[in-house]
Amino acid sequence: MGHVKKSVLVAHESHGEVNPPEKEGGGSPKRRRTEAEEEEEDDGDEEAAAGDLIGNLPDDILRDIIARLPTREACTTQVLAKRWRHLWRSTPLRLDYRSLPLRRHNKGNALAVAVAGVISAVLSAHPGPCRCLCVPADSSRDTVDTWLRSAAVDNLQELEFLSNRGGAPPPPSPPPPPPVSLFRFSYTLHIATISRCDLQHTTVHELRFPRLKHLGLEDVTITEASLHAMIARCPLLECLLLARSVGFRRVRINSPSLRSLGVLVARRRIAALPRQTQLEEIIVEDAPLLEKLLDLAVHNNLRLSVISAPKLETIGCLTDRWFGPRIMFGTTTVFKGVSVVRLTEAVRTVRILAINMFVLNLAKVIDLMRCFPCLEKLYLKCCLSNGNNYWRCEYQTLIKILDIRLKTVELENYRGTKPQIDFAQFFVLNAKVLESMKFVVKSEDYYDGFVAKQHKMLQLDKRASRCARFKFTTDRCHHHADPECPIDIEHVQDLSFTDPFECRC
Amino acid sequence: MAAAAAEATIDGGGKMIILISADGKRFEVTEAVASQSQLISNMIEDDCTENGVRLPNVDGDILTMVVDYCNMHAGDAAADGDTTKASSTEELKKFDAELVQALENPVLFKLILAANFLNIKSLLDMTCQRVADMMSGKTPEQMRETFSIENDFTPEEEAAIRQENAWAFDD
Repeated sequence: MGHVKKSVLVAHESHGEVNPPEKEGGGSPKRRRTEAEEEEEDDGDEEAAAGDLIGNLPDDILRDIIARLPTREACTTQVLAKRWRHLWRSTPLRLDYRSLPLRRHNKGNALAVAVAGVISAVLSAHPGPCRCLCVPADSSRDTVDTWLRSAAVDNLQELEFLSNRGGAPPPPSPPPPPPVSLFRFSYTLHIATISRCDLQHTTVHELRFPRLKHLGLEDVTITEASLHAMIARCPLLECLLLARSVGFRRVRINSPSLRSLGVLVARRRIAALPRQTQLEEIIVEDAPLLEKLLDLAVHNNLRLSVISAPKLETIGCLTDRWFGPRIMFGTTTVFKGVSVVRLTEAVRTVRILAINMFVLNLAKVIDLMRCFPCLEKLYLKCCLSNGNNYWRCEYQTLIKILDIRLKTVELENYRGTKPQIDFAQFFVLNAKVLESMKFVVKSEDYYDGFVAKQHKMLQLDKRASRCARFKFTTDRCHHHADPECPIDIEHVQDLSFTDPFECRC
Repeated sequence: MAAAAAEATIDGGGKMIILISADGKRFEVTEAVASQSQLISNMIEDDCTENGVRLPNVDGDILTMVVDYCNMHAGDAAADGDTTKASSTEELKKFDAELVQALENPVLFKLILAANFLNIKSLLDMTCQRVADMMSGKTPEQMRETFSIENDFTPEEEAAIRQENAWAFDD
């Protein structure tokens, strides 16, 4: 027993000055002043409940809370009460220019100047350390250099050097070289996004990034050799996002640590650049831990070859726009767009697949399910709802042998047209272990009684899986609304979600 | 102290531990459940849990919530990477979201203190995040109101801080 008490007591000590060692009820707020209140000992808890309880939390916990706030709100906590005055300055700084309160007043260049002014003000007001710094890449290189050289950002762990284009096409001019001090954190960075930089003439390939786990290169120019050297010098790299970056035609992935790779090719070829410097081919040569391979552009004709990725679980978005990417598994199984060209060996590791089809086509989807026999989640988006998906005669024998393991199906742009109903019915009536099926309906296609009618048309009462749930939704998030955005990945850290296609709003 | 009860074991043979709240309520949990608390996990390692673990600054109603939370999350660590757990991960998320949404201020802060004392990182993260979510997007006046924070600055002192950090207070 004595033993136990000792342990508890030790714990009290580590608990800090704020909590008294006895009952919590005794921890009445410091600012209790009147004698009348002092006498009401028995009602201590109720009194405390009404009072300033948050001020009773230990400093470390309040700092933890402040560290989770956007930059502005974190700073404003200084003015709440004396208890809070010193906390922000002793909390590791997270400075993200996107959360600064400036947007409404300024536009264009005036906004950029205002943002730069605030960033400088924050860095001079806070003594550091700064854990996470997110600054705009369109600020002048000298200004950025000043920020990056300030002592507050020594040992930076997260750096985001972002181009704030808000969806606008990149300026035609090639990007400028990076700020000189951009890579002074290479040894301490865990997360880095680098945007709008010409890395061709810097010595990036000589740097080491021993702790880097997430790397995003957006609108960057880099040579093939430098890119390969950089990947090789990130021994812990888990997520890599290559967005609209040029200077290399081919990427070979050889990484013992990479789990997630996202690629977004530039929508249009940049005429000023020679053809051999624009991305055409990705070869996953040896990626023992790679789980996710994401092609983020609807319009592309990438060639993707997967030679060795024994843990590849998630693939998307397969698309048949333009020519569609060409994907090859091993040496024989080949897709073109969403069509299986040649299937010699099924890819059994893949469980999650996203497809973007111009016209919903059941035959092609069934081919894909044969290619990925262990598929559990299927996300489908189509542009047009015409076509013919009547399957009862054609697939009579196939249904008996096809072992559909799908648990989740999500169908976007659902309007309830005949081809869509036929398509969806295939899964309703044949997917025996289906758990949930979601229909995302455009709000203009939705009317009173839509759901009841669809229930009947889809024959949900005859569903093959008794426990399946069916959900109709008009939820319209950015991800659903934008046909050019097959996956809601804006940032390299988004690649670490278990299921990148799942709607997170 | 009934030592026999504290030594109780369940069918699977997992050793049971008795947790005793400030107001004397007793909770019997498995070692696996209790070890999510780093504090108790250390005590188990040091072999000093046989007479029950007294938690003199955690009330019974708060400890009930903590034990519920730990019971729900007991599978977590053990079954990490097990793909069959996928659906229950969803359940867990829902359980967590509901738990944290339902908390009124005083209980939320007591739960934070308990999570801090018992050193249960995931529960501490979740509850601190809840407080941060309640503060995000609010002006200092709204934050004071939300948490009944009494402003003990003089108007001059407050004006000086606002001046010093004008960028954050500009509207």
